[in-house]
Amino acid sequence: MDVRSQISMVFHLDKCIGCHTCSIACKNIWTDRKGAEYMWWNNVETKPGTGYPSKWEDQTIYRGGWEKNNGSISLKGSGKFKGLANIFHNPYLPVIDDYYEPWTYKYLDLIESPELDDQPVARPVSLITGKPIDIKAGPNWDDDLSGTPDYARNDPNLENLSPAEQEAMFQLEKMAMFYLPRICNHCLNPACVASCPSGAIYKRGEDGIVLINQNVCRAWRMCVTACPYKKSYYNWHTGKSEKCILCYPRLEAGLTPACMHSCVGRIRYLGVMLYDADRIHEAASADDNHLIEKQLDIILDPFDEKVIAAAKANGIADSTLLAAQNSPIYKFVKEWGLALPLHPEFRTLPMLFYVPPLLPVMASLSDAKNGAQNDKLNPIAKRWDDNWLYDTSTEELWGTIEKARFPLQYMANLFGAGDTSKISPILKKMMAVRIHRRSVTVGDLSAEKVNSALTDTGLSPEQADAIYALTSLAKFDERFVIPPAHREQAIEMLESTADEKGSTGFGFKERPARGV
Amino acid sequence: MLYTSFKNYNEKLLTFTILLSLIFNLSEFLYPQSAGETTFKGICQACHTIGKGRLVGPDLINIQDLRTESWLIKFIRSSQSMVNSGDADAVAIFNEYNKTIMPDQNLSDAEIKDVLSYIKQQSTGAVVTEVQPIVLSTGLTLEQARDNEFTIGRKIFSGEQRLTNGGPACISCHNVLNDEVMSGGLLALDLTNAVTRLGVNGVHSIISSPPFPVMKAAYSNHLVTSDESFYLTAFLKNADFVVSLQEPAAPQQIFLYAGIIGGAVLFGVYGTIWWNRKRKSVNDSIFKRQLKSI
Amino acid sequence: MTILNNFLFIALPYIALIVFLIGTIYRYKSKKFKYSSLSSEFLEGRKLFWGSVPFHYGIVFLFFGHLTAFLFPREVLLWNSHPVRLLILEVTAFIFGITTFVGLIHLFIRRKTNPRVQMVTNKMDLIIEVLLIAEIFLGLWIAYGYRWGSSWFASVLSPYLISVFTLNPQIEPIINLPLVIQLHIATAFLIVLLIPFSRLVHFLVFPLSYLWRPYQKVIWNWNRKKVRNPRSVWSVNKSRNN
Repeated sequence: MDVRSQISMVFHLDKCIGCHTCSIACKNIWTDRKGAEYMWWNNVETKPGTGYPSKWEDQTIYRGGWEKNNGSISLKGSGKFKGLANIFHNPYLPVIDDYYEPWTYKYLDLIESPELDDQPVARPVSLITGKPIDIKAGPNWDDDLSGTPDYARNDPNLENLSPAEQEAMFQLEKMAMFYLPRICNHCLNPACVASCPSGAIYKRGEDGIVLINQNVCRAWRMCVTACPYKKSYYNWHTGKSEKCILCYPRLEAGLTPACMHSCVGRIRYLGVMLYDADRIHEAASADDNHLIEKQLDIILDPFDEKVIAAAKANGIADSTLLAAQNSPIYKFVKEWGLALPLHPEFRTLPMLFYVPPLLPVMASLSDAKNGAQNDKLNPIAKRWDDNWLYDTSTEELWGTIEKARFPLQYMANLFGAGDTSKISPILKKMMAVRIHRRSVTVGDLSAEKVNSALTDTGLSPEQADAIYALTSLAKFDERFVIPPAHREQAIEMLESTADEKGSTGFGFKERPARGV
Repeated sequence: MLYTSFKNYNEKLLTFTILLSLIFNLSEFLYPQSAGETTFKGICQACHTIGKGRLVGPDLINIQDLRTESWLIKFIRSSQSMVNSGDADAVAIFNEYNKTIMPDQNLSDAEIKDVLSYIKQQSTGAVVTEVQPIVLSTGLTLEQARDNEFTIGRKIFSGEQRLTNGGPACISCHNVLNDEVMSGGLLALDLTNAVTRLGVNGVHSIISSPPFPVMKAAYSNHLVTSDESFYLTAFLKNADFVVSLQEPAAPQQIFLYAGIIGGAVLFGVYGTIWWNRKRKSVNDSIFKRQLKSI
Repeated sequence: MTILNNFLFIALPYIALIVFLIGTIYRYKSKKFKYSSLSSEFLEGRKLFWGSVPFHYGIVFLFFGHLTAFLFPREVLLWNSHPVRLLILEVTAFIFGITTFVGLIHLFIRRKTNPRVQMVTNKMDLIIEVLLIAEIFLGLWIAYGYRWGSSWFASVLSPYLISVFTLNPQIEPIINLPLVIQLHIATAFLIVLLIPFSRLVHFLVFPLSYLWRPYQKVIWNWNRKKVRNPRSVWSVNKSRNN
């Protein structure tokens, strides 16, 4: 057992309102530089939708991630021989038009324009060429456009949905959507690291953050292809790849990453997880329908005496162990089984987990030809001629989940490698928590019903309360449990202070010498 | 810091060493230590004899009595510029020897004078008009050479039979119009009529000790043996003779066409190997539909 | 003429080699960030395919062809001793030469006409590209006009190059070669000279080591066991990450 620690995250999609505050916080800190304008280390997508870059999930186009063959795994679009053979022209590289051409406006024209018959306008100019452009696409161009043919219907996750199910999703009054915020998953089996010919990308041993050494990167561009989440971006100006650094300078100082700190919906959780590095390959090469359990399997119980002993033997600090025990991530992922990795079938073992959204599911569709449904309507309200009806009641318990207007299969394609049986227990648990809390706060549900809901999902009332508390009431320190970086033992995480004493400036460090 | 300065010191040392050796070798190159004899044997001997008859060029016996020293220095330096400037003697010699160009020699006055004094020193005895006959080690003379010898010569010429001392095959640089030999190189002169132009003795002498700098460089460490010179001379003599009876395919543009067609095929191969490459943006259809203001 | 010849074939090679050696090492040590292939495929990938692939595969073939003739002249002559094999070698090299040339011309046109690629083009890129075009054109001319170069390279140019590297340059055969070949040689050394000042350095860091490194790479900033051991000495070593 090779116990290592990993900074891991949970995004609670039920709470995401799609405000993009996270993206802006990230952009302002890290990517408002030349060549990085188009990079959104953090972005928020509307699902169903094509995402950013367009159709990033479609690996027949981009060839990202790993694929299983003969019991082992290999990189889909790169790898040792394929990568070197394709080094002169990477055949699957996304180009700038798959993202968008970054632009700004000539604001000065608004102010300094002479008096004319017409209003002055600020023309958009390209941030690449500096020439006026027609804006063709933007970073969140499919925002809230669920149902549109260009975006929602081109969503790769609709693949194995029946045409009827797909049609149902896009009818105006039935349409539903949710938001999917994405950052780098800081995977346990990162494809970007494996694909980098120069060896510039590495996983930090201490906290599992995946970083690109800018001095070693040589612009061979394989990581951009290899990352199935398209979270490695090529800086066209510097000729280096860049990616989310999980705000490691902030983490080392005990601060939360900017996107998480700024999250308005408080959907983000961050904490430490312990895992067994010896079994990474085994977990990554599991069968499609066992991928999730195998991945959760190598995540270790931080309360287990054996795990603690092995962790200490491996040099993991006591403070890190304590953080692992208090980790909200461990609770969501392992204890309650509420969170799943995004697209586990890419086999990178992502360490960012998502609690699937219940809200678009909750309003179910029922065949409402019978009078009972119609009678449930307020007599003043219009009687629907349609033979379907939204049912947002909790009376049927799980009926709303099974017959959701948002097909479970779609959620399963996102979070369960296509297996709906991975999704429905989670949604049932979340529904059970609601039923339980409704009986606590409102008290209009029968105890029998509440009990059966809890026992069906295997939750105790205490657990349900704990889930409720961490979901709805959690304070900053409960959502973010950051282990100390232990600078006192390491002097500095990255540099020896004594070496750099007398140096100056940000970025490149030089001696403060006078003259040339 | 210590490491950095050490590194710089190393670099400086390396640079200095290289520069130093460069200077030494340059001086050695620019002022070679050579007496007239070595120069004559190294450069002149291929085309000229002293008292043993004419080869490619005239016999140089008693040359100091025929021409002035300044004329000789000028001629040795650059015979062609003298011919072009209309010097009567130079033009006469040029025409007498089938307009064979004597290569310019990059020699100093002192070196040329050394050579001339060597020639003067050697100019004893009677002038011989007939040169030594060319014979094979078995005693076979050139006149007796037949198909068998011609074939061996052809194989040596085309490289099918390697030169004993590892020199490059003649075909690398020379072309000969012959049915049985493929088109040769174009770096040096066409040898189809070499025997007519230079005579068998001249050809043999040039093969044995090449006077032309490039050829000299190629064979200086890979001398052609006397038997090989014999076979080659025999082949060239025969080739010169039979060319009028044959209709060899003139050097064609096949090479060029093969390159162009092959290049096109290679492009096709690249296109096939990467047939499944991503050709356009996934947003292409959306972009194309949009109205353009620019 | 002597001065010019001495400059082109004695001084230039040494200047080029020294500048190349010191320049590339200095740049690698002190400006590592600037070692990059500076790919522009991200800005324009479609046309790049028909330029970059034929050019790179061609230039790699030609480079190793020249290198082989330089390092193993005897073996090349042995291979060429059969006319058919000579023909195969020459025609193959010529084909790669033509695709390299066409690919490079294509790359040059793309660089000059695509507005996005223009934004990531500097003067040195253009100088290098023009020099390479000239060099490859001269090479094709030599292959066509002074054919069977693979043989005479091995017997005439290899000795010259070896004499350069053994610090005893013999230029006598070189200065008597046709002007085209002389230009080809001089341009080659000029390109070598410019390598440390251009993007060409990227071929020096071709990631061959990728073939034998494990796929995953984990770096601990310090020895994680030692750093937590109170009895270990405090080390002035830099973290392994830096």
